[in-house]
Amino acid sequence: MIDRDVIGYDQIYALGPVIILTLTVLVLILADCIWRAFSRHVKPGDVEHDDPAGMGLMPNLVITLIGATAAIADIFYLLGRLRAGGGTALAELFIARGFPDATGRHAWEAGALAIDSFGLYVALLGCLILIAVSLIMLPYLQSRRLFRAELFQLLVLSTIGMLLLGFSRDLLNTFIAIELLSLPLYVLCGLSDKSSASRESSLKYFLLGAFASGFLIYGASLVYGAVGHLNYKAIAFYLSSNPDVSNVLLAGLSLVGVGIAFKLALVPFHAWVPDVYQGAPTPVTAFMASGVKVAMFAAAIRLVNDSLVGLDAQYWRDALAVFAILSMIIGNLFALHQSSVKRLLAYSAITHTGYLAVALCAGGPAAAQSLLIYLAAYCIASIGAFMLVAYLSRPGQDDVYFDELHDLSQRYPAASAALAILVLSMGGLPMTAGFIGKLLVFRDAWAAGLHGLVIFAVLNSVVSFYFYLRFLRAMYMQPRVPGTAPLEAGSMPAAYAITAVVSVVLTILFGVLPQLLVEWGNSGVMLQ
Amino acid sequence: MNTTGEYNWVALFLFGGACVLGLAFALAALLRPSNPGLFKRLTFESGARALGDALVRFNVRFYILAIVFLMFDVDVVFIFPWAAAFRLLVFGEENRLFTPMGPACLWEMFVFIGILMLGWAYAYRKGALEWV
Amino acid sequence: MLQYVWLTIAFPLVGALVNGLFGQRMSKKASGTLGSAMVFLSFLTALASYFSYKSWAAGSDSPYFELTLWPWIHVGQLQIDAALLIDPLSTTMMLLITGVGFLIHLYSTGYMSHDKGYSRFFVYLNLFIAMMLILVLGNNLALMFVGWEGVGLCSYLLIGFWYQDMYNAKCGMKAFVVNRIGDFGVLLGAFILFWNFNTLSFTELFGNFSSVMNSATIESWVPLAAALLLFLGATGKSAQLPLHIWLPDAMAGPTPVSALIHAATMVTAGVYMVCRLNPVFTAAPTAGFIIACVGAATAFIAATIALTQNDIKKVLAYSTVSQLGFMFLACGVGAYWVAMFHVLTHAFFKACLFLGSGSVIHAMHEEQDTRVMGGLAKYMPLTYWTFLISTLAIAGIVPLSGFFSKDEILWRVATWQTQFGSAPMILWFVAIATAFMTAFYMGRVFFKTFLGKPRWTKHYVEHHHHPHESPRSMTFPLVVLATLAAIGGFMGLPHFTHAPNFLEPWLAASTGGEEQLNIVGRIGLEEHGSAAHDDHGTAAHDDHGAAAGHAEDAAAHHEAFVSFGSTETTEIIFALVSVALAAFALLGLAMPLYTKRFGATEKLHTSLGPLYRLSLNKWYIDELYHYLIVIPGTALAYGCWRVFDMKFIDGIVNGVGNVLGWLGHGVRPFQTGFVRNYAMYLLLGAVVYLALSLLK
Repeated sequence: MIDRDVIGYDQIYALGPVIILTLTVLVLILADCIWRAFSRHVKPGDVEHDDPAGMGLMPNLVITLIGATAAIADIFYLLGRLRAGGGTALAELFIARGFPDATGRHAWEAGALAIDSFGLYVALLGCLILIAVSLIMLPYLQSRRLFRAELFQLLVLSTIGMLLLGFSRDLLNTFIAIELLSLPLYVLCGLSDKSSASRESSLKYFLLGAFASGFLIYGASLVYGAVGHLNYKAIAFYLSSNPDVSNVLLAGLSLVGVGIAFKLALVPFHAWVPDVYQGAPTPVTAFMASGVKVAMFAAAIRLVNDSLVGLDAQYWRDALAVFAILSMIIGNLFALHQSSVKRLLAYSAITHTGYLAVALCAGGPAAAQSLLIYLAAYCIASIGAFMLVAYLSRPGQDDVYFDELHDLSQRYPAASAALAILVLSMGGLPMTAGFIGKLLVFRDAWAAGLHGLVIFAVLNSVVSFYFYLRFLRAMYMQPRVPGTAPLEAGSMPAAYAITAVVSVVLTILFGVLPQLLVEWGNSGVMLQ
Repeated sequence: MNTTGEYNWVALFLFGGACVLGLAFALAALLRPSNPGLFKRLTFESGARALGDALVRFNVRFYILAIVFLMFDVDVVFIFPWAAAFRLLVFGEENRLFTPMGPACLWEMFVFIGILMLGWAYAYRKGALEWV
Repeated sequence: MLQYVWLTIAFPLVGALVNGLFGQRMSKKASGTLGSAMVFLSFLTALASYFSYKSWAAGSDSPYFELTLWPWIHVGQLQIDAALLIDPLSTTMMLLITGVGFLIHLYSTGYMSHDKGYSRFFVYLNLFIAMMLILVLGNNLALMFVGWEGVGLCSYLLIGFWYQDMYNAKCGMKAFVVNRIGDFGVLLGAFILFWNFNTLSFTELFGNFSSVMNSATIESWVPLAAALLLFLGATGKSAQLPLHIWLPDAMAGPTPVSALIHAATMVTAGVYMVCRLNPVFTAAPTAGFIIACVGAATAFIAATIALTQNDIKKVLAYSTVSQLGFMFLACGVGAYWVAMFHVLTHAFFKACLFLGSGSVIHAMHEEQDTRVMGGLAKYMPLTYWTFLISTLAIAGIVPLSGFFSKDEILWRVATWQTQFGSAPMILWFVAIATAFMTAFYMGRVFFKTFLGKPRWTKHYVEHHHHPHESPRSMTFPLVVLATLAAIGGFMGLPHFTHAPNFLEPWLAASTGGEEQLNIVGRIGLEEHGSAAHDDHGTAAHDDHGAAAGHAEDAAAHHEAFVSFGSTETTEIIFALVSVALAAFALLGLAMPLYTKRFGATEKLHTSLGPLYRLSLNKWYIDELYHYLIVIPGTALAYGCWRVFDMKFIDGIVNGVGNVLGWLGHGVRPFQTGFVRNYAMYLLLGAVVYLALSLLK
């Protein structure tokens, strides 16, 4: 039933951001080879022995930042072209078509990669996250004397995976993009090879990730078996033309869902999150909490909006709703009494996944927009919060515990105020960006008729304040625990300070003037 | 769509595969000279111990070699179908909805191999090929 | 001028920002002055906007002046502006908040002068004023919710202000958590309103409320559900049954905070919200009935608890809960302006009482137990006199402010036209009993503290010299507030006095004068037929039009009453009864019991055994919640943390069962730290997923 693929080489320019980032990786590798080729005893990726401050990481950082900035510039150029063109998508790459009917019209026609505004906005978010994480990476590595230059290559590679996920409208592409996103992360988690927690986190993430990928690819194969194609439009066409859904297809879609739900960290596929988030180096955790979440939700919303439109919602929504509810409950309950800040933020990330899954249940272009806005607000808050954890934590520990935060407002008033604002935004306090995200997400779900789910989510967001307030209580209202040494973070390095200021300013700005964020999301909706 | 019928082919394929495998073993048993010894009776002849704790530690250098090897594997995975379809890619074919790419596809392969070679160079510079 | 009303919010916000950023480096005097000055400027702006509003309203058809600052959220149908609403209701609240707020700021400069966190205190206090103003000035539910959350946060921070004491921090937490239950109600109520009326803006909501209600597209449960959910929020913020438990504990904060937040302003936010959204509540008579019942029950129960408390601030706290109950009683019977009247008078006398108690506590070196006070009158005359005036005011003695507002509530309850049979009579009896108890416990506190023999001499003289009057910065606000508490009632004189009532026609423009008049109108209907009703209908519409012309309107109201001589006589009799009861409770019971025959109370306690203990232990409500909600909830959360996270990660599986046996064995290997378990979990999840999608 399926026609051959047509490769649209004339439109390859639309992949500009991806190509730029790929070139960045190549330049990074080449530079590392050449850069240190003249040094006898230093291997690429390491830093010279007579460089105690780790300034040798600077060139890599600069190249990464230049690459990311160029990609952002290209994204804006493409967005401009898209607006000028007026269509929904700038380009569809690797187009496939259904067999033509008697009149010669194709039943469906879609690219495996759609360079539309949704994808471009996801890409923009990805590049911004890349910049933020690489910025906070430098002081982190310097303070811990972890001179691993390769991590910039890995970060950029992972970002390329993110970009592709945002564009992908084909299960195979989605799978490859997920792997491209994940494989560098497995390595990055084990970055601090002297810490057993870091190694443990890397291995756990890898093993479970591989297991989940197995589900995804198996599901994809079942879908192929049933539909004969992996393109989302093909699946949608098949669903709309076959009222009796075959069990093979349903099973395939469910297994694909499992694979995506694992990366999203929906309960019950979440068990890895606390261990991995806690063990991984904190900037990497920030990247996972922001970048991976954005990319995977982009993939999920594409799957839901592009391929499941013809499917009776009961086949996928009920399961998703159950997982959303479980995520909210489990995430909240476990977060209540955590003593580790990173672990608490990990559980809170699970809860946020639950809220976002509520919007996913709603589906549709409006939900895509709300998801983007929620994710943007959440990324700002979580990168900022993890950055502050990285800043405050003791060099040997890579985590902060609540009893160490006591009385922090007296010694680090700026850092405590920033942390307080960011976690309150995560909780959804009005006049912060997080509130806008929650409001929109719940609005969509309510409009889609999921009233019970919304009430449950609101109730949970109320409960979640309890543990977000623990930050305030610890920092502002509790005296130092006798016997614990105070955190000695020193003065804030410039890269941290920039990230902190930007995240706090954006959080409040988008809370007070959310129209900026909303319009940003508005133009990112044009799906389908 | 009735998919169960189509899946019979899968069963047939599995069955056929098993038959071929059995046949090969049977033929080998008939043809090979039988000269059993202590080491030849081990399950693997590659030097790994067949008995003992499953959680035995392998030298990490094997992994590095394996990863470098994987690079060439990936090379082949892409080059084979590319070479097989090269004519088609360049010139296209009649009666197919397929836009030929022309010489671009030749350069594309150079780019691909170039990227892989860059990785190889990096691994080499990193000392992955030294057996330390 | 009216378009600069946002300055009232901006001034305290600037104060909070400057004090927050540079407070550490400023002298105490500078940061205190800055904090107070900003609120004073805010008060001046409020005053100016009051006058310019009056001149604006004289030439306007609508009582609502809208000021859109900037478009806040515009997504699809959801159109929320950062907009302020100036009308009589919000103007009144604005004046109250900034006026009383300024006095309490002034008081704090003296009260907190020895405190380490001086500038921090003013940061929170200024922030609170700003948030409270956002709450009352916001023109939509979303903005109101911003203020609602903001004042909750400030209250939380201020209750736990002296956080070095673990107890205080816990009290702050309790207040916040209990309030969040209410906030949940507000959010859902707002959702329901939005999805049925497609707007969150007050003016738009009022504009198309009746047309949407009449168009029958609305299901009948909608206004009831919205009203009850919103009222749930009000019970949280305004400490009504069953969520009142946080307010007495909130007294852990500094006394000015108790006066400002937990007596005069924040706790009345619930009352304000009900008055603001009065069309919704009026559309759901059942909700009105429930509110009246909850208010009366709260008033009664809190008053009984206040009878036996020994901590001076605890008595005042329960008294506040009880008085808030009165306000909700008024709201429930539809007498919204009366509720606001009581908000005002209560703010005056209760703030004065709290500040007076702060002055006493200050003089007694942080002693709050009335059992070891007594005879303070001669050492601190100003505090004594102001406290006396406020006590008489709250007890309801003519002609102090409390009498007028409370009497109006009682009268409205007694004449409530409702479908719920004898409810008005029962509610009236509960309310008059509460009023009686109020006079008694206030007398008890007053006499125990200021009169009788000093009971502090023994333990006190050893360490300190005599208690002394507080500095002028603290006594000045006391005097001003006592004056207001004395004369504040003349804003709303009852109808039988035939004097012009200032407050009713002024507030009627925004608290539904129509409903007020309809009640009156219905009474009129019985004797005068429909003609009288029509007259009043017209009068009501005129009300909306001209706030300036209240004199004629007031006259129009009075005509209704004048025509029923019997009603007026009844009203006078009712008033006399309540004054007599209050005077008897004060002079006949409390004075002899707590000045001369001090020992007699002990006998009373033993003879009333169980009742006394019930009251002393606050009806055991805290304990009830503790066993019903807190313990299971904590056990669940603690169990998750302890069992799943700690024990398994440490590899200790022993002794799990006794903590969390009831959660069952199945879910235990949940956060074990073992990859194999996680993988199994993933697999199980996949099975569930498959089952959910395939078994349809």
